[in-house]
Amino acid sequence: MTKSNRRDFLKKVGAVGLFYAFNKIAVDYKNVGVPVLRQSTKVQYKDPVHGANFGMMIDVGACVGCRRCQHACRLENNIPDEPSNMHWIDVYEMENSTPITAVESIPPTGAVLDYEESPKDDHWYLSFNCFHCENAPCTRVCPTGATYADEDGIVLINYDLCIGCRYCMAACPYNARRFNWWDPKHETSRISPVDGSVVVLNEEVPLRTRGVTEKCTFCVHRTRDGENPKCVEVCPVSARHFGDLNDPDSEVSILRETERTINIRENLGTRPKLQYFTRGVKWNKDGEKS
Amino acid sequence: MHTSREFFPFIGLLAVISGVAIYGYVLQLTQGLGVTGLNDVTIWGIYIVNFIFFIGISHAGIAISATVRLMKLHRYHKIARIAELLTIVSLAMAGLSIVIDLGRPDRSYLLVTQYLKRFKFSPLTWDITAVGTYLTLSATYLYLTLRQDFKLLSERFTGLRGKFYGMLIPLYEVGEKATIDRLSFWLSVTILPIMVMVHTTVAWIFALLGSRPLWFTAFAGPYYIVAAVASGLGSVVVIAAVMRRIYHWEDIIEPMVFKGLANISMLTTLIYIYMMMAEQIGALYAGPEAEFLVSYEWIFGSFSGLFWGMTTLGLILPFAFLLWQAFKPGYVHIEGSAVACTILVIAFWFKRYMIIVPTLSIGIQQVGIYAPSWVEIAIMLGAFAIPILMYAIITKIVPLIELEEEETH
Repeated sequence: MTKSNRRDFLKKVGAVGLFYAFNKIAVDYKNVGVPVLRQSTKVQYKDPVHGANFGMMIDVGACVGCRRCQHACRLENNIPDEPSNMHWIDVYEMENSTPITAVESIPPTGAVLDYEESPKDDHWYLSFNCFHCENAPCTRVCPTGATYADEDGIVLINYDLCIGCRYCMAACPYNARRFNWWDPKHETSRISPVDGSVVVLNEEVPLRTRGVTEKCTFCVHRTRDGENPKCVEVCPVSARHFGDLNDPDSEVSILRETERTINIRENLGTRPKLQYFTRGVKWNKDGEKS
Repeated sequence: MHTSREFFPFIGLLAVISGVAIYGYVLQLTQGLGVTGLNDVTIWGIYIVNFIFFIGISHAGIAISATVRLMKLHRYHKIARIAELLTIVSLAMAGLSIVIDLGRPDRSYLLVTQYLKRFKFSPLTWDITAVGTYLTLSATYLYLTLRQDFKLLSERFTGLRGKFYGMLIPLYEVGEKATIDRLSFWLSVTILPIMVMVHTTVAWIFALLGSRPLWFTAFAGPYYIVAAVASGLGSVVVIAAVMRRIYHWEDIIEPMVFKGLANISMLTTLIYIYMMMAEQIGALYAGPEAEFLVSYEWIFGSFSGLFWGMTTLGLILPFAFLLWQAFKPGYVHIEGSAVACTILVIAFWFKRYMIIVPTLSIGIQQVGIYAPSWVEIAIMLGAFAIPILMYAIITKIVPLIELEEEETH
């Protein structure tokens, strides 16, 4: 670790520590028996990218089910390990006899969520997060307007407006939304299960409180700066692709043009912007293409 | 009104149950909704079941009262106020059930402040509109019809009690009865269609979610209204029978009143069983996969015990008794009707459970299996104890039989 790096690191830890000192007061109040429902931190989302329409494509044939995207997402977006095992990205192990076009509900019937090894022969992996639908049922039903589709097509949640009625979760056909059933227990730093590095809390991502809904934001703090979402960055087999659908030269636009895209639950008319395709490539146990 | 010796232990029991429920809610408030059995897949449970149930019960009251007024059914006039109070109390409990279900009840004011922005889109705000209007009109209606009685009571009692009743009727004028009768008539005309809307919007909360099997159906509105009428009139039968026994109103409430109400409850139960059959046959025979799975779980799968118990013991058995009673001219068994209607009301609570839980949790092997926690069950019992408690206390203040009626006897 170079000197400047270390200084940056210490700065971050200091900021997080200060933040925690403030939150500690609220926690102490709670211990005295006063129910303090803490407000979320006022981190503002970056301004939407004008004229953009962000979308994602997942190559289901390529996905090996390693769940690196899931773990990276949790570290990037301050999703705590305790008290509930929450993910914004879920990966289901599917039988080859169930094609993706037969997926009529999420979680899919007969799919396995807590599989222990991957990739397995005769299986494929359905990885999904929020679909950021163009015609999103969740934003329509929200009684307070806490969840909304932004100008650049990203469906976001204003955690300070959410009253926790969970109507959006009932409306979501993809089960992409998560609820904070307990007080999330954040730790100042965690060890990444992917590469063993130490990851501190991300100050660009607001912390959620108990009693509000949350979900994938397409890593809004990264993508509005022109970067890829974390899950796309860490995918070892490049199964995930991200870009601006309004830009004809972007990767996703080209994939949309050249590949046969599959929408899950297309009959609902949600027009999801997380679409699937496959080049017919399947990976076997030894990590070789078959 | 005379307070018997049994009143206080009864109130004490209800207060204890309510106390446990309040303790459960404090736990939920301080620790989060995780103390319930809910999870990210089965997101709604007993609280929402209670909400639909109470909205259903609330239908009976003003419906009876307004129908009585519009159609001049004088025989039923004596139970009108019992029913109206039931409406107010159960509407209050329905609203409370929603607040209990919220993850952030401290922010429920946002439902009002964000209302103008959201009422074009969210079915939940339509429901707030309908229930709010219904509650306001019902309470106004009840208060207007009560003014005359409060006046009589303030004259009957001297001292503090008389003053208390006097305070309840500000701006009283001697000749206001004619005006109030006219007002109540037009309120009845307004309330009846709103009553239909209330349960239709409750049905739309669920029926407008296109992705949910068995919720997304065009006949959800009528389906819910029929259940509401059956369970609502059923609970009026139960409460009126209990009141009649406790307060010895054998001379005031005619037995045939119970038969009339039980008959309507019986008929609507029959229609409900028919609608349920129509729904299930479609889903089982030709439904899409998700719909078929839910229906299959209802009838043959993990919910089949609940479903068949609810249908046979809860709906068909009381229906058979009430039908038998209906076919014997001039015969009414009040206790029997009350027991049959109690079973019906309980069965309709379980029917609402069947609507909410299987649709959310079917087809999920590892996550999403829902079993209510003790906190939820305690809060549910409290949600029944609190309205009974409220009802018992209100009966001590408000005359349940309109006083003029009492005096003509």
